[in-house]
Amino acid sequence: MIPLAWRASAAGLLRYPLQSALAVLGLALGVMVFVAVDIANQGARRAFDLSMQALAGRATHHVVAGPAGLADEVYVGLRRDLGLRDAAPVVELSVRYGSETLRVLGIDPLAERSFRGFAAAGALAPAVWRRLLLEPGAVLLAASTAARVGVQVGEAFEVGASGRRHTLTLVGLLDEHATRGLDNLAVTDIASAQSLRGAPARLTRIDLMLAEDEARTLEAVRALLPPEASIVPASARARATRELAGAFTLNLTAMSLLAVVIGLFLIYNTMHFNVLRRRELFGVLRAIGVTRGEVLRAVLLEALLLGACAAALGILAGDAIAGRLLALVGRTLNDLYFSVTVGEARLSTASLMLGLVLGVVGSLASALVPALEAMSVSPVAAIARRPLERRVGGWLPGLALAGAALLAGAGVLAISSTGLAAGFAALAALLVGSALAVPWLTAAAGAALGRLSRRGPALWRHTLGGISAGISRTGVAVAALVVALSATVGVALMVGSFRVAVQDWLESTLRADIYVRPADGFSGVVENALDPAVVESITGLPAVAAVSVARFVEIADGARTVPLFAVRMPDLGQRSIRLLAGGEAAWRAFDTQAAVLVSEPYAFHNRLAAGDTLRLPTPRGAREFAVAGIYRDYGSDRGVVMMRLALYREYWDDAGISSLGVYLRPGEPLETATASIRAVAEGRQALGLRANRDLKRVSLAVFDRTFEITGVLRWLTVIVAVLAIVTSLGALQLERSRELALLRALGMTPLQLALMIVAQTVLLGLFAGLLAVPVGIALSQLLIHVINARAFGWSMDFVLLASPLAEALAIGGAVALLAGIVPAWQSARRTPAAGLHGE
Amino acid sequence: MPLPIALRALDYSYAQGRNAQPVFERFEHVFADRGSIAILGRSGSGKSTLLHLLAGLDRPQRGAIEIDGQDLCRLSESRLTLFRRQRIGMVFQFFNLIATLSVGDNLLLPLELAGTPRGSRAARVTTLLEQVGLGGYAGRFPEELSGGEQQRVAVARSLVHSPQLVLADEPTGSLDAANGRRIIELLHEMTAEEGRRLLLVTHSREVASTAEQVLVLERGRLSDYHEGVAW
Repeated sequence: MIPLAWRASAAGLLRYPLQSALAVLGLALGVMVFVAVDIANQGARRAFDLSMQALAGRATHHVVAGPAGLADEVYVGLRRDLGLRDAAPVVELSVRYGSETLRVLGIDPLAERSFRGFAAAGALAPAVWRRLLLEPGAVLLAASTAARVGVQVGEAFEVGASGRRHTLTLVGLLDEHATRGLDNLAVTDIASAQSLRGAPARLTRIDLMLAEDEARTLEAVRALLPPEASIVPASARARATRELAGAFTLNLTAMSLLAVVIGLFLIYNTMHFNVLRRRELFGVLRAIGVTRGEVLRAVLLEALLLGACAAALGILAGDAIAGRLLALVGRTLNDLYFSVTVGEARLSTASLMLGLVLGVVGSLASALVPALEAMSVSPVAAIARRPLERRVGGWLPGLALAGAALLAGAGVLAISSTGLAAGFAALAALLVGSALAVPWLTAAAGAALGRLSRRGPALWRHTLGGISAGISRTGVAVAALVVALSATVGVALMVGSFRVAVQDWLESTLRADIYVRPADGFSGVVENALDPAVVESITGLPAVAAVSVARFVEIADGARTVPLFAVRMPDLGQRSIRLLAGGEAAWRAFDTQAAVLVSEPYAFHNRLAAGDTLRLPTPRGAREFAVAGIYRDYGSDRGVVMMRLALYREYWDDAGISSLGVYLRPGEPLETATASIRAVAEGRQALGLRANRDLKRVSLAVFDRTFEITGVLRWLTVIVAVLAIVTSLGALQLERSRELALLRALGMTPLQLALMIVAQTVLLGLFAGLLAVPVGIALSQLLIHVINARAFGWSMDFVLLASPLAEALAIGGAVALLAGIVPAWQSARRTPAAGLHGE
Repeated sequence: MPLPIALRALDYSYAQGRNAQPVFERFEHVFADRGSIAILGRSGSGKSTLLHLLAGLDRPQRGAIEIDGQDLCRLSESRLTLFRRQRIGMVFQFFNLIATLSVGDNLLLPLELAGTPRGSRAARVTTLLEQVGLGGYAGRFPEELSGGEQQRVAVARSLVHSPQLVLADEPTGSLDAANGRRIIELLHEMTAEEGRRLLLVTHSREVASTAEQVLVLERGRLSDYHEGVAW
């Protein structure tokens, strides 16, 4: 198109700067959410990689073993018998210092130097190495960690491990660069770490650096290892750990994409509005020789500019809020998956490009229909609005049919396939299908209301008729709002159902009155054990009727670990665990045979069913255990293997007890019993005690925290939808300014006019809220029975909660009220003559 | 007795401040107390603005617009609306029928707004539609009518609530000559029947010549004034 004609066309965008600005803002918000989630996910992944790098260093392989770890002799054997010089023993554990959890890495300073960056030659003064090697309890901290916890070099400080106090001395500071992603790292000599762990002469793992022609060396190492130990590539172990959180980060990305989709509705609306307003102009331009292609390019160029502005703004804003999101992601990862200290949120080139592509390509795609519309304007005469509405009206049944087909497709995808990708495709088909059906439903509802008010005043009929009259605009606005509200309803119902399921599960599973662990045991430090003498004293207390005894361990099985929960439950005549498969026979097998129960997510991730066998490495060699049953467990999405304590002790040389569940005799006051338990442990081991009620409360608090980020994303999506409806309805009223002026000329008061506009928009909002209810319920079914089941392996019952449904209606009404107030106020304020001048 | 109309020292300009474009400066005119009025002028002469001011659709910056002794400029927005609702009917160049309402409903709307008793509304609508030659069209929608028919509906709508003053802004501007003549005849006939006053704005000398008083406007000033249909 020639520049002057182009300028004439582009002036339409600038004529309604607020409208264009709101569209840019809406899409920018969508891009912001997507970019922020991407940066947060990448930041968490980077922090994880850095921490793995800092901990594993240049190790190519790890030798790992069961819960009891490896004996010192294994390391000695590797060096002496195989002559492996590049081998380093490691002891890892967590300790508590005040409210902080420090990750202790015990190393052998003499074997260490070539492995980890912080131990490289020259990184620390020889005097510091000497102290680390010779002084019991000497540790190194990163400068930032030392500053945060308030410990200075040379200062001694007390930490808690296994409920016992230990004194450590800070003898030097670690290189910050080499410990990025691990700012809670404390490095100490291996002997000090073994003492902290209460496991002398045992190692957590041995790191190896093997050359490329490693096959023979690997064979030789394997031959030397005890049965429960294995050698695994360092990268495979890191990948296996990182993949634990894969489903969580994928869900966040899917949710952030929803905000972008709603933002695209906004761009579509704005471009459509601008094309409609300029139909006459396009007609004139075509009449004087501008080609269809030039019109198409002009409109697409405008969309490109809007999209680029939105993408740039969204990327900047996303980068700005990513830090907060990263903190939320990091907290959830820490709560559920692995210990990681998330650092700075950094915008990567990949996030930047993704945001840009999403904003620009999305904007172009959503402007395509309006651009084609502009291209088709007849050069003979600029078509009036009414014929367009009629044409749009003609498309509605077709669109609704396409929507119905997509909805059917969503059902087929949900039922026929078992993949997570198919689940997300079903979710997308449900939302798009509903959005396509919304304009037809809106028009039909408007027409039905019009028929209902046939005997009512003409003003009512006009108010109700106005709903379907501008369907080319209202339909899209309502569709955007329905998508956002149904997502809100769907996610709220899913989270609500999940919460009810977790509550029920906690109620049935947590039966003991008091839970006892070592003092640090409730703070994420699980490897510590209770003193057997303390356990015996507690069991013998007169107030105690029975105890359940549990041991939580991670069994190294190649590159991955298997969470094992060994338990001895008191015979209370009723099992506290709900079996989903296996029936009563499962309990008999569990109690008497070499059988285990696996949690639902574990069975799902490992494709296990009742009757299968599970092979686990034990100190007596690999053993097969029958999977007697599958039980409901919401404690971990990795899943857990549950074993009889006696069976565990039979195969693993570990008499440790991680926790006790204390059942009190009827009528025994909780406070007195708690005091008695503390009294018997006094001087022997510091205990962490949680009453049943408190443990349930804390568990639910962790659950709520996990979904905090979902809540944040949900509300950001609603905000984008609010912008969509405000701009759409605002545009509609702008288009109707002449008609509104006419009504004023006929004698309508400003108040009557304002009420009419507000009534129309509120009706639209309430209608969107109503439509969002069934769509939201369908969405929650997909989230519960398809996405949750396929991503995490959890099943749960759907609970229809009233509050999300009422919330959808209230938000729909309130949003529309908000959208109606400004144009109502503007129309009422405007002199009728100004509106009629628009002729 | 026709409705007395007087314009006193009117100042009106588009926009304000440095960008102000004056339309009327100290404009004065008292219409003779008889018959229909035509305001004739070229585009930009201020004739449509004058009509909007007389309808109370816009307000001058200074001066008075007196209709039947009442200064519109002193009325509050709601009083002005009530005044318009009860005493003024309007016809526009582009018909301005409400597309979402049927022809009958378009006529009912002013009656509802004016608070006409429910029982008498339907009969009044039927009568008016018959008078403009569109009996039986009540159920149709504006888009189903020709331009001439739409303007006849607009004429009927302007009279349905029995206003004392009918203001018509280029009522023939969108019509062919035959339809235009028919509309002008209708306007004169129907206003004369019930003793109403018609004020029409036009750029056509032929249309203006049908009125009993003709004001010729040029750049916001009265350049000529005639009385009598024979002009």
